[in-house]
Amino acid sequence: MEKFGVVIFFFVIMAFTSFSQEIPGFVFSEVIVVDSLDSGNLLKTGKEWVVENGFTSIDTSGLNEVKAENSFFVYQKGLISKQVHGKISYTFLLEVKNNKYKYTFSEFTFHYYKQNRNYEMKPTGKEKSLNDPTAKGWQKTWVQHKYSTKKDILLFIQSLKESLIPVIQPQVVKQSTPSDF
Amino acid sequence: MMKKKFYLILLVILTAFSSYGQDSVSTGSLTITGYVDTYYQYNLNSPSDRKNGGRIFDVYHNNFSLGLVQTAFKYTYGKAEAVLDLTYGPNAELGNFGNSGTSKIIKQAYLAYGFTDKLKFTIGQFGTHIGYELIDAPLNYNYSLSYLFGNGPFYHTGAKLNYTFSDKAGIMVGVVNGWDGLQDFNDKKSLAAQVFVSPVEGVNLYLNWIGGDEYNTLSAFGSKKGSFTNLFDLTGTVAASDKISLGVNAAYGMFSSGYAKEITDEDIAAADPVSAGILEADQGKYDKDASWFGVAGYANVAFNDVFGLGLRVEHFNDPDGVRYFGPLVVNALTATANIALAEGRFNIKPEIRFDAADSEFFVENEGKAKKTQTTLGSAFILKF
Repeated sequence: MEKFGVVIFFFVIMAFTSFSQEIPGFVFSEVIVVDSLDSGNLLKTGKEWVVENGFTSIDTSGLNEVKAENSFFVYQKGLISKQVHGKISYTFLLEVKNNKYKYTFSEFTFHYYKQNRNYEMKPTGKEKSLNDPTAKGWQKTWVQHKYSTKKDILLFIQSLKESLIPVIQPQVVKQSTPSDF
Repeated sequence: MMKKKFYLILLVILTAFSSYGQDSVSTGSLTITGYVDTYYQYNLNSPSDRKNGGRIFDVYHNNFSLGLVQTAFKYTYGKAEAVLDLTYGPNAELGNFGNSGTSKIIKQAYLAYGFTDKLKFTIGQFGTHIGYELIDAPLNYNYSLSYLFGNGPFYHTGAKLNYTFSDKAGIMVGVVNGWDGLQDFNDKKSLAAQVFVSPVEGVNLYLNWIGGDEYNTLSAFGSKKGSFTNLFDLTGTVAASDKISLGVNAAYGMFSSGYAKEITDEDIAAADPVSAGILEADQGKYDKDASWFGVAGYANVAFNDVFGLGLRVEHFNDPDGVRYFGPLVVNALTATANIALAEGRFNIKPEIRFDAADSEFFVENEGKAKKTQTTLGSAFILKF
């Protein structure tokens, strides 16, 4: 009975350690359990990861967490070449504890861009949250932006997970001497 | 020892060559964009010459008109950039009026190089830095253009340097052939300058200037070498909210004729044939100092991404007639709707405009002139 209880407890813990990546609204969040990595190592690797991946406004002032921002251009297909349509920005939060961490990609915002007299695409100041399901007059493009954002974020999540996998240190084999034998 | 020194020197040389051309690594990119615009406009004066008075591109009354077709090529390779902006059609001929032959289709053709992230050099034919409105219909809210736009320069050929201090401030200085000409029509260059500041987020201010001797150019500043034209221009945009944007454009021009006194008939009679021709052309218009100014305000409301409304109010004041239309003091009120279809690529712009001058400037149906003009119409713009 005791063993059965342990097995049930194990499955319950597993369920809670990896609930769905997407939660209502345009947010990606997950708790990952990692054996053999304490919060210090997780935090250090997390900081290195955001720097390597070009995140900006990196804030490590919080205890056991890393905050950062990132953005990328999204495009509209022109007759011959693709054209910048706008920019999507988001925030990233990594919270760490011993042997586990939680990542959150959220606050996805589309920034409207407009061409200026020098044929440069510049922000207009107008924004739209990716939580908004519709874009009147340009729904097709809006869906495409959401799709490409999701694709990029899933790649980031994969990269983050791979960087936070504990590296198994090779055991040092002590050389025996005739006297040890 | 000598051998070691030799290898050391060789190593240094090889290191230098291996890092030669550490220009940013880029594969280059080509962007091709463009648009087509057409319009129909009805003038309630039913002018006998079938033309709308004081208009720049929306010239024809009761006529289905092609505006222009644009194809713009922008190639970027590392820090270098080339722009070729070609336009065709009736408004292209009007906009590129200082060009001729096959150059008539060139609206812009320039090369640019970013020496640093902040310093950029540009040379070639490029759109003017003066004014709020542009030749490109998709980049203006209103379809008909303002008097300020029509009486200022459209483009320049020359070289300029832009320095960006930050996203809140920048400057530009340049040397150009003058107003509106691929070639230099006289032996004088003009200087151009711009100061940009963004004092608070959402507010952008540009203070622009061009100055030089524009004699013998197609931009109508007389024939007297030694004249001088200054044009100061302030352009501002304010993103008041997500839905409301405001704009302002104010310009002040000063023309210094270069003549010691006004030209008399006796002066013309006493001059040699060549000089007499020049004096005759300048008499009464370019033989005295003059100034002109204008101010326009803009308010645009985007009710949603499909429909919006824009309003423009303008006052233009050229009592000495030093600009294109002759003596003219006029007020104009323009209301333009913007309907964006096909994912924002096809715009329909119904527009109504009321012009009121202080003199009988606008032609009506019996060939007479009157002080007011009202036009109703719509433009259709497709971007690609």
